[in-house]
Amino acid sequence: MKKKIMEWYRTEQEKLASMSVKEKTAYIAEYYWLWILGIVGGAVLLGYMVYRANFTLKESWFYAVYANTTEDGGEGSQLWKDFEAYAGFDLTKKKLVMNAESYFDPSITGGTNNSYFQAFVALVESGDLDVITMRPEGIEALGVSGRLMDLTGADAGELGAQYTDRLIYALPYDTDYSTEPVPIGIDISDSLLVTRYHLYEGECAIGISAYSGHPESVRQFLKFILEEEA
Amino acid sequence: MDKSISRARRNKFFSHLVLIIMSFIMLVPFAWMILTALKTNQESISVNPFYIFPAHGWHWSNFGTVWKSYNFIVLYKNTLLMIVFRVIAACLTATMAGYAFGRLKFPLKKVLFSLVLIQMMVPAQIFIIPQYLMVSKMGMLNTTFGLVFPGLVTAFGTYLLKVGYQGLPKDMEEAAAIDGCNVGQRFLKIMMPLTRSSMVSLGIFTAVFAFKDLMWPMIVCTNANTTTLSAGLAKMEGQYLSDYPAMMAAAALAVIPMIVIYVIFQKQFVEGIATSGGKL
Repeated sequence: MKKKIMEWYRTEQEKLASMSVKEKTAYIAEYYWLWILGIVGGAVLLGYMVYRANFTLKESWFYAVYANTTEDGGEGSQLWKDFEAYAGFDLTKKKLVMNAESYFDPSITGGTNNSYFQAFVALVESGDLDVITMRPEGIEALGVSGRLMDLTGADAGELGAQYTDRLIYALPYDTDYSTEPVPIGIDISDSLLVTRYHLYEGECAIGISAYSGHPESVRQFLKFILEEEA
Repeated sequence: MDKSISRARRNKFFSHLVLIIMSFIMLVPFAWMILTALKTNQESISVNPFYIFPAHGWHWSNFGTVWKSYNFIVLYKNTLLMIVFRVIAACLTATMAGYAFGRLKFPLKKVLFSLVLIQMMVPAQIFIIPQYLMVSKMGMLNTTFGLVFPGLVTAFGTYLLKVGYQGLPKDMEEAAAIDGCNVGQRFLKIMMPLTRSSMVSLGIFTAVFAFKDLMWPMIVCTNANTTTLSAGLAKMEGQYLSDYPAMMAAAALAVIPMIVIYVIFQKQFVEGIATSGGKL
């Protein structure tokens, strides 16, 4: 292989030696344009990937999904700004993600062909998602899948005790430790999401991802939306 | 003789009649979408199934309202970028892999091709979490690259192109080799141009699947400025009430690019379905 490449290089050098600059340019453009295009394209793509991998914030302080809302609750929205100021996150170190571009239909049962459910599962299983909000029926439907945190469990027992009168229950189908419904959500119908930011009208609930890695941010968020004055 | 001609005519008439009726049935959802887009919300949710046409005037303003409320220019741009880059990436990688598997001899070829086939046999959802993690760790969420990522390589495309290359006669490649072409030159100058129809089919399939893709944009786009038409339309459904005329107006606006693509590539669409045996 190396021998072949060296041979090719020598032949091409010999050819180019007898050409003028104009002829050399024309020759290279004629025979090697695809190679040049491929190498330049590859280099640009690689450079872009390296840049994004090294200079983009990947970890988040908190990741919330506001499903089924037509209002703006995403990055840069008033809710995003207010919570960032409230929690005092340093956005130069980690990012604050709020996604109001999501939809979930609890009437579609089962995971097959339910893109909304699969998108939720992907976000939960990847460990990125912290909380999801929508109407209580939706939270119950997600709770049945076992991917919302049991609020009586060790990881969230404190939250369960703090919001006892607001708990929403579901019976996860893939757990063998309980035949009784477990608390998987918190009713936030009177929260700022409804009263100040108008993301929802009427009933609204929040579920915490079973794999949430930011319990302190979740606590702060709940305190912010439930205890701050509208 | 006359009898058989009249019978043939009658058969032709009935077959055409059935086809025309079927064509109209196929158009019903599209017509329903346009008619609903021109109704009031109350008319659109009327339980009377014969309440087809708007009774209180044609509300063309629904289109204007939707256009103003949602940033359709951004949605079109994101969707088109995703489609264009996915088509380019799929055709580029599939044609190279297809040529290698179809025409070249190298160790572990069968094993490697089996791995490609296995990808076609498992549900796409299996790959979602690893793909999401990769895009997330690369810092590519909310980018065009993030949207394109799952379409960079295609097992179906590799298979389609492999079959395409295998179907070509060996003589041409052998003649090119005798004339001094190396593997790269044979691939680029002789073989690849001959698989143009397969590549067009793959491009069309990729474009349609990219346009329809809802799950992936919902996962990697957390921002209204980076999302696509499919995810943007899904967001229009409210928690308790849905403005169906607005949704249908948005859906009608969303299908325009695909209709344009179909009108331009109508012949290739039909050939693509015929040659690959796939359904869109």
